Amino acid sequence: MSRKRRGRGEAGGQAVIETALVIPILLALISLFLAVMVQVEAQQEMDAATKLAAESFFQAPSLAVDAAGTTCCAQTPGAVDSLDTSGLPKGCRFAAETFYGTMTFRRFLVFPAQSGASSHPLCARDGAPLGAALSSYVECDVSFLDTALNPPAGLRVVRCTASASLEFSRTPLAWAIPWSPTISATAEAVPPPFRQ
Amino acid sequence: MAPLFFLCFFAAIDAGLWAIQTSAAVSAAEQGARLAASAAGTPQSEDTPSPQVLFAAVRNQLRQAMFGTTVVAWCDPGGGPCSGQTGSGGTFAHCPSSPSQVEQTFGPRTVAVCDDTSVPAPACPAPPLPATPRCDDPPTVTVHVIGFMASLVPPLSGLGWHAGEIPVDVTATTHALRFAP
Repeated sequence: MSRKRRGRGEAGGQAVIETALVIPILLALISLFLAVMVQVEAQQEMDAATKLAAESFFQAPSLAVDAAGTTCCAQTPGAVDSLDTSGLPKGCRFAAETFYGTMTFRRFLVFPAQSGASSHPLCARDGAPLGAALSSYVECDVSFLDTALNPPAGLRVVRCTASASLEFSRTPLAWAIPWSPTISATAEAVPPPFRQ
Repeated sequence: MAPLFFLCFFAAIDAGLWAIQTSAAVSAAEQGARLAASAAGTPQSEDTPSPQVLFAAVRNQLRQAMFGTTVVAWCDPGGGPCSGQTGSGGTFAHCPSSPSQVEQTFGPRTVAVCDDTSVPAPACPAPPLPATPRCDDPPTVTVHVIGFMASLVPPLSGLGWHAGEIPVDVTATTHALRFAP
């Protein structure tokens, strides 16, 4: 009798230990699924925003330049504009407005420009920054030579890039996802033949 | 143990479905923005394509990916105008501000496609006066894909999830295309 009881007790104890081991693993797996969902969404949004930003550069007249005092791109609706685009080609502001309008800025999405450690110009030509917009979330080279197009001479295109790190430490998933993956996107747009 | 196993199992399936649905929503918004930015009628037209034209262009893409979800244009279901059109007012004067607004209007598990066009900027002053900021800018067009998608999730109030549906709010913004006369 006592042996049977002891046997049942041992089985019950084993089940408790197994459950205690498996539950955290399952919860960690669920957290991982959620983290993947978040990352996939952020990556897709960044791809779309960067692509549209590069294309919208050409929606401004080719010789148009922003007037003095022009600003753009609040990071949240109603916030103060974060970029001074005075003197920049109008297309640069169009690219920034498109990117900022398409991207959803969440508190766990941290862009390199937010650190303030180095310069992140909205627009550059041959590596040299243009204007005073130096803390942009999207960076566009307005005269990038893509040698894959029209070889061997290449073709001058607009190339926009963006990157951000996903700080899961700022979310409830922090306990299961201790790392911060980086997402990035690059897009090129070819000058349209009928540009105004 | 079994409930936890099933929770994990369905979470994996749902994450996959959700990735497909979100991908479709993002690319539909992107495609919609490109179309909405193009001039309707003639290259020099100041009009953007109507919401019905926009919806027709992205409808199939969304319906194929959104399982068990109704896809609608943000237009008065009684046959009235859509957002941004002449005569639109009340609920349909502008795009919905939250997924809940779509649910209140069209019911659960419904995603709406909508576009908002900003007011065009004023013309630049004639020389020798200096140009003013943003003068002569074309209007911006913002396309929204917003609502609740069908899903396997349990209700989680903290994340805005309802039982069997998960919110989606994707926007794409660009400037309207205008060509030189």
